[in-house]
Order: sequence, then structure tokens, then C-alpha cells
Amino acid sequence: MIENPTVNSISNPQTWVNLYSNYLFKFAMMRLRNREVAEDMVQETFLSALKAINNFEGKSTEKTWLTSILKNKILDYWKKSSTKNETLVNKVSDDDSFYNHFFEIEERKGHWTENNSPQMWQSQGENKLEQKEFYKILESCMAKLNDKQGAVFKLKFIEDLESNFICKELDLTSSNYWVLMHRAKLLIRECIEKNWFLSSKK
Amino acid sequence: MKLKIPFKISCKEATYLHTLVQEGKMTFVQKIGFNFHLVYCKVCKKFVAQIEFLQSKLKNNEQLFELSESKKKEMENEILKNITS
Repeated sequence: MIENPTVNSISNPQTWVNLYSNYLFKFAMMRLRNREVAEDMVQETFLSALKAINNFEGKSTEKTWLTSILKNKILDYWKKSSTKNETLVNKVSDDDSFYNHFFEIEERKGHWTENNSPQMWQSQGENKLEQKEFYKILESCMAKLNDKQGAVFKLKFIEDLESNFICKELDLTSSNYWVLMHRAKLLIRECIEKNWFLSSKK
Repeated sequence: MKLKIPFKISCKEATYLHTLVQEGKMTFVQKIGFNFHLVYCKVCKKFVAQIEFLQSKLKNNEQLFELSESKKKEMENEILKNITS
């Protein structure tokens, strides 16, 4: 099956992990919160590809083909989770209970609350080990965002995609996008401040 | 979030508008309100600087989300199992 001469641009599936797993895993992690889910999905992508290997027409590159399989799996996962527990997130209203943590509600309405306003961040050493630790904490902070907040944040901040493109991919209106991004920024900023800049572990 | 008086926006509104400003999607009125707010609000200024710092650290970052070698090995084995079966 592997040596099938009619399938020109497919390489030996035994090389797939080496060639594509890093790329596919990052692609999945930009869109998913949970590491285990992303790992499983990359694994399943390889296995689905293996089953469909004879259908590969060579119209796209192998990498594009594998990415589209993964993309479909992510879409399915999104659909399932949106019917389960994401309905609240889809209804991204101006819900006050979230904002009350950060902003005053009565006197000085809309001002930062005293306990949760941004603090001074000490400048960072460029030490390699410290950098690694910093990114580990950033990763764990991003994992705390809900699925859509996380995807919006990562696709913008890491991949630097256009917001129109992000809205299309995640099926969001632009006002949903602004609200999700606002919340993600507030949460990430606070998380990294508490766990890195003001942490005694450092 | 609708703005009533452009020159007087709250920190909640300013931090929301930051995204629109960054992406060039704000109206003229919003832009004035946002910039004016940052002139006198040191806390929001800090917020903006910190978000931009995080953005610079994250953009196209290669160190994030690495797959462990043991997981890769596992995947390789799984593929091999499915080829031979």
C-alpha cells in the first residue's frame, strides 16, 4: 500500500511524525485549549490519512492535505462542544458578573478595582531558563481561557491573523470578537502578572 | 459598548477599545476618547504597555506548544501498527 506507484507525492507514512507532527500540533493548539485533545487529534489525523491514503489525488501537498483533515476534526470538536457547554460563551453579552472582578460597579463606575488593577512589572532577565519558564506559565495561562477566548487570543497574538479571518474561521460576529478579545486580554494579563511578575517562585 | 460622551470614557471602555484601536477598527470619536483617556489614566497606560509587551513576546513564537518526544514516539508506533495490520 505504501509503495503504491500511482500515489506520487505521498511520502512513507512512517516519516509523517518526523515531518509534520510539530506543525500539526501547533496548528491544533492555536485552536484548542487542551493539550491532550490536541495530541489525540494529531494522532487521529495521521490514522485517518493512512486510511484515506488511496484517495489522495496529489492536487495539494501532503502537508496541506493532512492539515485539512486536522481542520475538519477540529471543526467537529467545536460543533460538539458548542452544543454541550459553549452556548454560554457564544452568547457573549455585556455580562456584568465577569467585569465586576476588574471594574468598579458603583462609585467610580468602570474604573479598575483596587485589588485587580494592573501592577508594575519588573523587567525580565534574558536568561534562557527563565525564558522557558516564562513561556510555560504563559501557556498555562492561555489554557485557562475558555475555548473561544483562547482561540481568538492565540490566533491574533501568536499567529497574527487578520480579525476578519479569525471571525470567519470561528464563526463569530465582529462584536463577539471584540468582547472575547477584551476578556482574554484582561484574564491573560492578570494571570501572567500573578504567576510570573509578582510570584516569589521566580 | 456604546459611548455617550467621547471625552469621558471609563477604564472598562478604554481596555475594550484597545483592541479596536490596535486593529484600526475604531471610529473617530472612539479614537479621541481612547487617546484622551490614556493621557490621564496611568493604570490603563500600564495595561496597554503590558498587553503590547505580551504581544511582542508571543508573535510568531516558536517555543510555544512543543510536542514531547515520547508523544511523537507513541504516534510513530501507532502509525506502524496500522500499516502492518
